[in-house]
Amino acid sequence: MIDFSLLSKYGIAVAPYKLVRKPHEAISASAEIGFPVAMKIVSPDALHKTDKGGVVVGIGSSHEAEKAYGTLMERFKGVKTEGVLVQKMVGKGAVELIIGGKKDPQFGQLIMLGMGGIFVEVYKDVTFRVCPITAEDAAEMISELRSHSILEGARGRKPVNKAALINALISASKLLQGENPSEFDINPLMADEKGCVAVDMRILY
Amino acid sequence: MEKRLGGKLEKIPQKIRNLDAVFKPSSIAVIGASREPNKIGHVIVKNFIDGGFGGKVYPINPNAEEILGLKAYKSVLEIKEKVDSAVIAIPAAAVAGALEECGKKGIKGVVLISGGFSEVGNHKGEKKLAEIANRYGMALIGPNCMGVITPASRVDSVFLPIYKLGRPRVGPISFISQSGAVGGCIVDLASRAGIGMNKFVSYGNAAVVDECDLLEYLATDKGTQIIVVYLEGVKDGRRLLEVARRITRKKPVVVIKAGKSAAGAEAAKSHTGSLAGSSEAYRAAFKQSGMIEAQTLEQLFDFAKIFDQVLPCGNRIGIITNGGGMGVLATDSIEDEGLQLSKFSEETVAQLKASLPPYANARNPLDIIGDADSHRYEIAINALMKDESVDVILLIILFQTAAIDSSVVNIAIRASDLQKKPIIAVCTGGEYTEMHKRILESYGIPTYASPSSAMRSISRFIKYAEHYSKYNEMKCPVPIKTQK
Repeated sequence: MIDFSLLSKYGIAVAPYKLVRKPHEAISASAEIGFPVAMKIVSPDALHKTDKGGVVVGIGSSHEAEKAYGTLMERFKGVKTEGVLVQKMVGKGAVELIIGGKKDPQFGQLIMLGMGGIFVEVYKDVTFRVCPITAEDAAEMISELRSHSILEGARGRKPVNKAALINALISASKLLQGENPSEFDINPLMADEKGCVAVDMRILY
Repeated sequence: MEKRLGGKLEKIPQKIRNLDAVFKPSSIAVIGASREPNKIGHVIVKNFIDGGFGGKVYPINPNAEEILGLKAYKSVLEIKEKVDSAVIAIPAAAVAGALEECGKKGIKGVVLISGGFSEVGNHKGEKKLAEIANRYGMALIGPNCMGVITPASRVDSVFLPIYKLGRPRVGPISFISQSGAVGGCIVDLASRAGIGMNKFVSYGNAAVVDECDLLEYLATDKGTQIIVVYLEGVKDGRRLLEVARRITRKKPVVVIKAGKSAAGAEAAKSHTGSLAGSSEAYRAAFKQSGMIEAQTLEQLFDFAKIFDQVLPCGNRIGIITNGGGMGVLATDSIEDEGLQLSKFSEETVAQLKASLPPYANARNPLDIIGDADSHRYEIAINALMKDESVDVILLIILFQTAAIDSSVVNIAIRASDLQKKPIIAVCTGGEYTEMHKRILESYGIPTYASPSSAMRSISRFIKYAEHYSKYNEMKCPVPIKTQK
């Protein structure tokens, strides 16, 4: 399930969002949040939303917002949905990361950091620690990623804000210990020079 | 015995203290001793006698008067003198009774070789053993194990004949192995290679004493400088993490985890779930506790034996070689492992130029040419020993050349004995080379068959030195920090 309030509770920044259930709500929420926005279907039956066309991005106007809402409703006709999430498009030029968690039978909560996005399982550029982690552990995790030079600002990018990323990892470690889920994903977590913002999450108990 | 743990005094559990009786007993009873040469109970008694155990050995066998020239007893309770330790090798059904008698006799340490417990589903039987051992505070190793070897005190309960499984010389490495079979062949290999061992334990089902208890014991054991662990699973991962975290601040721990199947990750519903198998959890715990993970059995002792050298103060490698190609390969490996090729100081270069033949290149890798003899090696080693821009000396010796003889080994050993800088040797070759490698190993100079395997071990060595320096004072010219 998606529960952004859980992230806020542990101090992890979330891209501004609103859950809507009607076309006119979608329009007003989009305007309120400020364009451009993205819309995502919220459904317990759609685990990997992108694969099923459950995400519309780059919505720039009220007209487009109405259309996007209609498209999603059409695509998920007959599927149990809880509504549509309207969310601020953030992180243009940011690096997509993933912070995850899993309960291990031997070691308890594990925390994962990796290069995020939809190809996480293809690249498998991830690293793990046992919770709780220290700032030093978090810094080590960042430097262990194969793509770590991207975070350092490869090809003229500005390096991501490492302190913010370390904080996000420590907060996630606290969340994992506090909530003790069986599985947990923040994916993507958009990281740039200013900080990191969670765009999507999933928690399973 | 007490020790300080996180500021407060904590008592070491009796079963851990009593491991002393297992590793250095002055008297031992062999329950299940036999007159039949092919029986385990015969081999064990024979190994104690032939191995030169200095204490008393009491064979226990209700149907024998004498075994291998020693008076046999019907039960440990028949022995008048004090008995420290017992080895039990009898059928599972009789074990509980024998163990109870050991408790009554005041025996403190027991090695239980017999199988037939939790490994075949007999959990009840194993629980009963634990109950008896704990009631008397006995340190019980096993069941279903191969026992222990302590080269220094000549304790040897391993039931494999000495002519089939070589016993290692006394050295700084202690090795604990969940598997008896894997443990045994590694001990055999190590002893052939000339690697020294302090203690070997095959701990089997770990009904009472488990891997964490053994680690706790070895942490304060004076003879143990390096700990090697072969793990299949652990009872309590969190405890392993905590215990290892404490130990690695003082002693290096090299670990291999067998059984890394991805099972459990299959049913995952999230990205993380599908990426996190049990091997990721172990790997994470090894990293966080400062343990050094080996991927293969070869690496296990490759990584461990390097710690017989003084810890390095940095990651700058100085290479000496009598074969140019090996120097090039070593330089490539330096890059692969993220280490640094040292840049020799001007004094070093000037001195080398003055004392080496003009066709030798006074640069790193230092190629002292195929006609190098021991004297030329001595000049090169002395120069690199003095140079503060060299943290580790990689000594490549190709024994195939006409000019090289055994005296180069003495020069390497003399330099290593100064304990100023680590000296690591690479010797590639056949029998003549192997013979010299064994001598180097027996003097604590780790040897490798290739530059790449040497460098893989050196990178672990340096990483551990950094870890160690966070908690301990090191005699280094500058605080240790790897140069980027």
